[in-house]
Amino acid sequence: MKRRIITMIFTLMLTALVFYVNFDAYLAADPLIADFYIEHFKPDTYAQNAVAAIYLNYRVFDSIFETLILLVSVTAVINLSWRRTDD
Amino acid sequence: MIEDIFLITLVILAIIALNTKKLRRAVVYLGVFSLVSSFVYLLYGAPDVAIAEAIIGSTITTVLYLVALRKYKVFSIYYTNDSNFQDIRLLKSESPFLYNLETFLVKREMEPQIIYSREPIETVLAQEKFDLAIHHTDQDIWIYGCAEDYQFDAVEDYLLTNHGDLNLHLMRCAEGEDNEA
Amino acid sequence: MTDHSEIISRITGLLYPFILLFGFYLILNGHASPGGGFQGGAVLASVFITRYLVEPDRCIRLNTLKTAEKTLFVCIILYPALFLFVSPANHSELLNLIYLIVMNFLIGLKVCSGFTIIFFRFAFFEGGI
Repeated sequence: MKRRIITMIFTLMLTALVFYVNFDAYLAADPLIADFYIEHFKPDTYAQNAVAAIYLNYRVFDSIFETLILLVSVTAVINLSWRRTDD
Repeated sequence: MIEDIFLITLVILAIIALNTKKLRRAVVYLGVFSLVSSFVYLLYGAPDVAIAEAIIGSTITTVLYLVALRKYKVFSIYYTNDSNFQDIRLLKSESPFLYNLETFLVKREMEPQIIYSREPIETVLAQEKFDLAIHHTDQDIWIYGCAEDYQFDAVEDYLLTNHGDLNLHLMRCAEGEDNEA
Repeated sequence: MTDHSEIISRITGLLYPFILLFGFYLILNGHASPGGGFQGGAVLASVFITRYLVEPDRCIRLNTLKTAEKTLFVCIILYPALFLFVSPANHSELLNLIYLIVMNFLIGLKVCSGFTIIFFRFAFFEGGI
């Protein structure tokens, strides 16, 4: 019962924190970069989706290393499994 | 305003997931958490991230956690005896009952973990977190299990069909305050 | 592990083509609408995971998927290197569209094979007795 009360108080405190942080937070990116992408992505890459234009053209290195991370994690899972029948 | 409601729901769901008694329920709460957080992403105008969160967080991770839970179900058995035993391995080789129970649990993909205790059975029942508690007297074998545990039903079926000649007494007690199934 | 429900098998068997269709829609329309390679690949991987729910006893050929993933990774490195990095000038519209669609497709297939390998490795090779 005491644990429950402590949990309730903790929940209420976190809720108040969420309200406080969210109350006047500015939730958009830096307007310079955002405006640059919004103006230029169509003539640069001919994509209709700005997100695709960014992760496939402006920031290709992000995509490449993200897939590299997936490959490394697959290798780790294969090597750390218990039962090794093949390879 | 509606984002605030969903953010509070997120915090409450996370704390509920921390406070559950069973890990399976915690996994389900985490799936709901991912779904609500993907809705929050959608409200903030990021549909790509919302799709990724909904698929990975609430589908693949949930299924992966459930498979992992089924793989690693550690089943702890407390074993007490009347006579003072000296060597644990000798005791295990002498009683085929324990050996059979262990192989049965392994076949059901659990990891049986037998803990030999010198304390009387009442203190074990009152204090320890157990899935099965076995009290072995000279004639009888008393087995205590949790009333809501569905594995205990299978164990009961198996024991009654294969070890009917022993004097088995199966007792079901209510789930304790902190008994992690 | 051995007992599985008939209802779940039938219903997921019915749902197979729709999940596949949705995954390929996400991948191939990634340049025009929300979605893309990663999300579509995850949807395609969930097709294999539902296959585990239908037939829990049979593993799939993981070695083919491993070679496919390595080959796709080399392709993902090579295509931007040959297309974007060789000249600073802008390409024509058709070449750019082909680049976007093919890159989305490659990333989707790679993510799908990676998730499938991770899941089946966990399900069949981890902790089995």
